[in-house]
Amino acid sequence: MSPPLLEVRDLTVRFRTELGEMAAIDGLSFEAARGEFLGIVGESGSGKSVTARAVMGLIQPPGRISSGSIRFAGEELVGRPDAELERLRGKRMAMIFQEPMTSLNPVFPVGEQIAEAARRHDRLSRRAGWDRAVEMLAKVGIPGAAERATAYPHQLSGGMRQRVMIAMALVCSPQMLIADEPTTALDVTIQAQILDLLRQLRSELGLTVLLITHDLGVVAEQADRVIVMYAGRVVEESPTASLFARPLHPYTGGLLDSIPDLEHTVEELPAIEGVVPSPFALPPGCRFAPRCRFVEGPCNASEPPLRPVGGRRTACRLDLDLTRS
Amino acid sequence: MPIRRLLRHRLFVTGLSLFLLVVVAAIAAEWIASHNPTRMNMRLRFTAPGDPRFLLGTDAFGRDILARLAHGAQVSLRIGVMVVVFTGVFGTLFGALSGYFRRLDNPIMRVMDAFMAFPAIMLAIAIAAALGPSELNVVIALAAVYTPRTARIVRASVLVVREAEFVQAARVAGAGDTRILLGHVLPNSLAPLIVQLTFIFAYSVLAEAVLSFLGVGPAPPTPTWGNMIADGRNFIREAPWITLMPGIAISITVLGLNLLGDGLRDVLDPRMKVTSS
Repeated sequence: MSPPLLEVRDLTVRFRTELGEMAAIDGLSFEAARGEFLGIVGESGSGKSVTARAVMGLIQPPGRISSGSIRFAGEELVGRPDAELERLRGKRMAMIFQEPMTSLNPVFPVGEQIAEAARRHDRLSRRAGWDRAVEMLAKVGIPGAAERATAYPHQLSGGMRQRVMIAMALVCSPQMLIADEPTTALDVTIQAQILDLLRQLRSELGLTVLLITHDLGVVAEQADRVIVMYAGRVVEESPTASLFARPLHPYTGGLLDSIPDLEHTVEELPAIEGVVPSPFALPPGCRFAPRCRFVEGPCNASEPPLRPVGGRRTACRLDLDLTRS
Repeated sequence: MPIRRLLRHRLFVTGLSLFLLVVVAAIAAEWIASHNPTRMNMRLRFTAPGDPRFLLGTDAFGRDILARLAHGAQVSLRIGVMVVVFTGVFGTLFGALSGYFRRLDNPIMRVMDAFMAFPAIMLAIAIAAALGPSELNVVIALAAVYTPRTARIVRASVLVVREAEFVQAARVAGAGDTRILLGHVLPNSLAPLIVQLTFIFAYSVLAEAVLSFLGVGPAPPTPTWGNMIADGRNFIREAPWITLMPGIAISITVLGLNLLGDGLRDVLDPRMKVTSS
């Protein structure tokens, strides 16, 4: 097996706040293989967006990477000067955001914005950069690309803009694309189109995709493998199919239970009781223990490590059978 | 598109017309007023407006008021333009730096606050008096007074724009600070600045008149509107037109620029929209 494209080891990102310093992610480890479609799932505050920003080298004061390593294609990224990261960003790793409505600069035509990265990283002329932009717009499925390239963002729909964002991200043929909730702000039908586009581009370009989302449905359809995050830590890591068939961690189980079932009517949708613990008042043991149905004495004593279970990993010390029908 | 919307904005068009009137008067000063604006003629002093030779009358020294107004317009507009350029450049520089690089924010903005603590016209008088009466010194004084305000406005919009998602998007595409500030943040922060600069133009015209009136502006016999009002104030009962004419000129210019600025604001900044076109 070839070495992973992205390898995150024991990454801790801390933020200084008025209440003191807190760890948004704490000892996070995962890897993504070349060409893999990896889903990162978690609720708000679980640290999934911070993870994405850390990998892109975008953590700025008051935040800092206090320990750990991020290796991309064998190169260490933590501690690299910003100028070197700038050469990497957009060229070898790219990112798209949640809000296609505001992710484009309103005062320039979209073609110019796509061409900007190509001109900077690939030293293309103005002309060649523009041609490349038009080519990319066609590739992401925008009809009449040459004409659309001259359009300003406000002249395009949300789905179109997200396509433009993808074109912008992929214009320099990066090896990895981080998509941070790319479909959250879109209509469901457009969501499906964008996700299909991502999958198609990924196989076409051999792209590694990190899809960050809180929507398990999105992950189920697209990802090869899923990482579930809770309170700044990985609680479960598993191939998508087995995650959905038999979750190992009660948190994953709870998330799956709270997805509405189209076949059966239920009085009340099961929810996970309680809220994510404040990073300033973390429980002494397992971070999920206060909300867990299966909690036992030792759960509250010490934090369970992420342990391998048949090619998967879970941060639950219990061997639960959460098999779903 | 915005240009068409501007031209449909009735107040903007009114303001623009008034302002253009002054601009044309300044440019065509040599033609519309055949008289030398500084040549005195004691026999023709206090000619009332309406005289075929002196359309707007003459002043206490028999100088043609129309000629002096037109040449005064040159001085006022020249000062206005220079103040706008200086404040625009320095206000943008300081505002952008302190809005974008948060470490520079306090040092720069506290100095700006110190300038703003003085009443504007007092500070301008003090600076102009210290540097001596000349056109350039008036410009320096007014630019020093208006730069802090402009810097504040630019800083405020930079603070908003730098958090925009498209700035993040540019950063993940590998753009550095310079590129982001000049290419993405500033172009999106300019609308309020442009509006503010038209108002600063108006204030400068007014302030220059005040400084001239008080004798710290361009020295007489330079025809400035402020000088003209100062000259005429002793004869305000006998020959009110000497003060009235430059007063009207100042009003037209300031009113025109204000309407212009209001119109620009309505069109460029939809959130502030109050008047309909």
